[in-house]
Amino acid sequence: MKALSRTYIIIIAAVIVIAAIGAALVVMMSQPQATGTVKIGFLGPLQTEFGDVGLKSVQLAVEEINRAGGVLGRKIEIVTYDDGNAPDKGVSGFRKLVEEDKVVAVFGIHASPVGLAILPLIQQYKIPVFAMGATSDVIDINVSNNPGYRYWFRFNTNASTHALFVYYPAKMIAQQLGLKKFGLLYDNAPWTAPVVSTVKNAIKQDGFELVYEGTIDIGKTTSFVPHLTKARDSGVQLLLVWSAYGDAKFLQRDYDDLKPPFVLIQFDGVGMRPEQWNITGGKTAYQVFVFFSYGRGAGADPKLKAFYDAFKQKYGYDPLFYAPYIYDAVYAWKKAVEATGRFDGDAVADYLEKNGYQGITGRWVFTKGHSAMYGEDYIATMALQWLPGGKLAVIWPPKYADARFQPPPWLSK
Amino acid sequence: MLMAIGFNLVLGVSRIVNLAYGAQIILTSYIASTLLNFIPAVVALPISVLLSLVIGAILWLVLWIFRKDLILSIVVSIAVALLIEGVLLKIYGARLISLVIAPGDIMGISAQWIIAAISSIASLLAFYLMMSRTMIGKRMAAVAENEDLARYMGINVRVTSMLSFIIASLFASIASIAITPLYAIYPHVGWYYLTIVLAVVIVGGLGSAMGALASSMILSFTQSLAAYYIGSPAKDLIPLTILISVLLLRPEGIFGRGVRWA
Amino acid sequence: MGLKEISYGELIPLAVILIAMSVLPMLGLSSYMLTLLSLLLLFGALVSIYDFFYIRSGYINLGYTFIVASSAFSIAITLERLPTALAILAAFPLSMLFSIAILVPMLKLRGPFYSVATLLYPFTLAPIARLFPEVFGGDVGIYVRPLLSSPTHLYYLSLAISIGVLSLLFILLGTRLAIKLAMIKDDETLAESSGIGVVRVKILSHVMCTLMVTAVMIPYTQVSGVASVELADPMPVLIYALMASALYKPGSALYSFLGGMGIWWLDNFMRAAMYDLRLVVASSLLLTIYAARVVLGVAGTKIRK
Repeated sequence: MKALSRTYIIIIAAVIVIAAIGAALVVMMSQPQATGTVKIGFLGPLQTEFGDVGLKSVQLAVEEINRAGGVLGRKIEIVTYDDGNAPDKGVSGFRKLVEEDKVVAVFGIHASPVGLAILPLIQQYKIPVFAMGATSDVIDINVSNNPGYRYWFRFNTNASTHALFVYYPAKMIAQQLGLKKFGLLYDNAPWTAPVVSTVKNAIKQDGFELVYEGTIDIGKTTSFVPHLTKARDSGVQLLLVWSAYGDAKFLQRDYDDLKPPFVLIQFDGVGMRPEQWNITGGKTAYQVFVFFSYGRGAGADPKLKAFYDAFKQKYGYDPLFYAPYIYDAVYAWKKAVEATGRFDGDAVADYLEKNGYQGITGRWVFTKGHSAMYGEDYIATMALQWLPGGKLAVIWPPKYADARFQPPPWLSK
Repeated sequence: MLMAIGFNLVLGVSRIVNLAYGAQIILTSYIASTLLNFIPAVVALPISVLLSLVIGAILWLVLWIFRKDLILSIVVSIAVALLIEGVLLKIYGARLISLVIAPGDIMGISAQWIIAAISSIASLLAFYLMMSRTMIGKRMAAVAENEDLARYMGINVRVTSMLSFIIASLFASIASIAITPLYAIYPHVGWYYLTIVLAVVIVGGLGSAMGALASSMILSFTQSLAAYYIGSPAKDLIPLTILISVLLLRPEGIFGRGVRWA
Repeated sequence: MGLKEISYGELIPLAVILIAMSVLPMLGLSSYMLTLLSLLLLFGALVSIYDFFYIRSGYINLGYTFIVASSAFSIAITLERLPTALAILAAFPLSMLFSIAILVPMLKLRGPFYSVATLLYPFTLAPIARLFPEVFGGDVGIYVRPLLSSPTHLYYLSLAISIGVLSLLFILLGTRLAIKLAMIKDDETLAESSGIGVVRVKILSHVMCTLMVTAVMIPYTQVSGVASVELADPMPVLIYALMASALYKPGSALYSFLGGMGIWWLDNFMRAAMYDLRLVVASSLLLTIYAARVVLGVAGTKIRK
């Protein structure tokens, strides 16, 4: 037994030593950086869809830039760290990227807790950070109140602006069809609080009527029949939905089965994808979805379409969610660096604060909280309508629209 | 409901905590999604189920060896679950995949819902008949009640346990094929399924198959009724309140049979 | 195994390691390394606490991260509202209040049923945080008021608390509590009939566990900066804790502490260098360690037929 125990200890010790040597080798190999290269970091939840798509977009942008000669004559290398959406890993990973890997910029950051946790570090290191998510308004408030956080740029809008994603196309449809009565259905989660107050103000200001309000119990609502029935009984003509956790697919199926006499316009954070037709078994006809971006419409910007084509060619599927946003972020950083001739955070921040960036998704101009300004002249999301047969048509904003909104046939009954 | 009954069956009969159950569920879907690219559903689905049963049997073999040591069996089942998730992540990536088995409607109702409903009801009926009318069912009940006594009575506990595992794996496969087209899957979602199963199992009763049936009804109906009749946010507290109340007041579950397995 | 039973062969290397760790900051380590080492120490402490109170007693608490996360929230909540000294003191009873929820199954359930019930606890924290955002900060979490800004100071605080936890566990290992926990693991019914107040032992060990976890989470939340529901995620923290406690003598605190540090280091390495294989490597390592224990018949791993 003693001899066996000793053998066991030796085996385990050997495994640990090998792992430690491997770790040391990797650390050694990562330093110093080769002459003629510059490193950027990607910090995000790499084992989730959001992180995976974000990284792929950054990789695509970096490949293109390197093919064209790099930035300031230097090739870009990407160093990654999987934060798993956890703030303790985020802090650890951020420090590693900056201190050990000597990155000059960090991209990624999907979760708001991670964004919040690294703000003091951003101030300490003065490294520009380009977030693709972390949309909490709390971060905006912190950034606008603390000049030391100026190196943070969110290449996305904040949570409260999500109200307008759904409201603007809904308003257009209401005006097109002469409808007045709105209903709201949203995740029972803190992120929707500013969304709901924003949209309620907008409804009131534009002379519409709010007749129904309901919430989604996240992760537990598998039947939306009660919600849809209640909305119908309340006289709703347009139901606006905000769902970020994947529950909306049940709503989409139930809406199609029930065919209530109102229009459904939704921000479905997980379901804004071409596969949603299949996922719901073809039950999204006539429903309006908000997409962060969509490059396959007839009216799509050619540069956006080119990004979609390049992404599909490299990875085999179209980009999802806010992939084009973080792609723009890489090019925005490149532009700032080349315009100023420097990689440091102050130069990049000064440039972006003053000039913004014209990207494939629109014009990036930043608020005081360094979030993207939203609107047709800035960054605008798109509203797409599913048509029978599984076709998608862009119906809003007008400059990208390739079709008018088609009311469901049962609305006239 | 089906998944919860399968989990409870293994827990009750074999005293095995199979925390790889969620991973088993989605594994069937991933296998099916791959096979459906090459062969029609009528062939792909039975093969997926069969492969899942084989994996279930291997898993049983491993967990059976460790079952007397609780730490080992829990650790091994968690490790297997993570291994499955890791392998799926590596092969398929983090993207959602959807399984299309039965597109379209029949008389206005989704064909997939009909398949899910029919397969669930048929499975439950078969399970009920097996437990109440067959010798296998009676043996399982005997082993669940008192393993040592069952052994003394001449029941082969090992074979009975293996059968319970295979039936649980079968339920997992059927549930997977029935509901994945309705949900869409990704490698980590197995843990989400496991938590649903655990919630149903805990409310209904640990080790009680009928308890699982009852509690899944209670939780679903309560939620639906609350969504219509009670305003938010109160209604969203109800399922959580039921769960926490059971955990605090009667952690063995509503239909559970008190402290088990000293 | 208590202080008196620790051999010099075990005590001396440990003392050397701790002395070395005390002088490390003087070698000019980067803030990153100090942050990482702080987290290594704290995770090692969390694992050794888990090892002593749960592995030793045979009650495999799969909801341990609920205690970890609720302690983190307690600290963040009190720091948000109270002066520092009062906040630190108040965090302990507040985290006790949260953890009472997880004590109840321990008193009523045993074996696999206990483990299954506790696994659900970490998943209740996210909906609770969303329902009470004014308390828990919702999806963003709560920003933890910084008490120490220097990574060096944070490192020394982490080291001090880890040494404190380890010392306390060593002392406890030589007490009757440790013996009673081991007896409960062997046969709870027999332990009860031998005159051991099993319920009292469970309550006492649970209280001590929660208090020690809260102490560890004070520097932990300073390092992470935010208390959020992600801290409650049981995977892969739970698997790391189980792995670390299995490396040599389960319930021994010392080896699980070192194991926990090593595994956290490995996790950090994989997140940077091989994130797509992290789960495969971690689970394979776990299976290998346990298989090796079984095959080689290492002490503490008995497959009872």
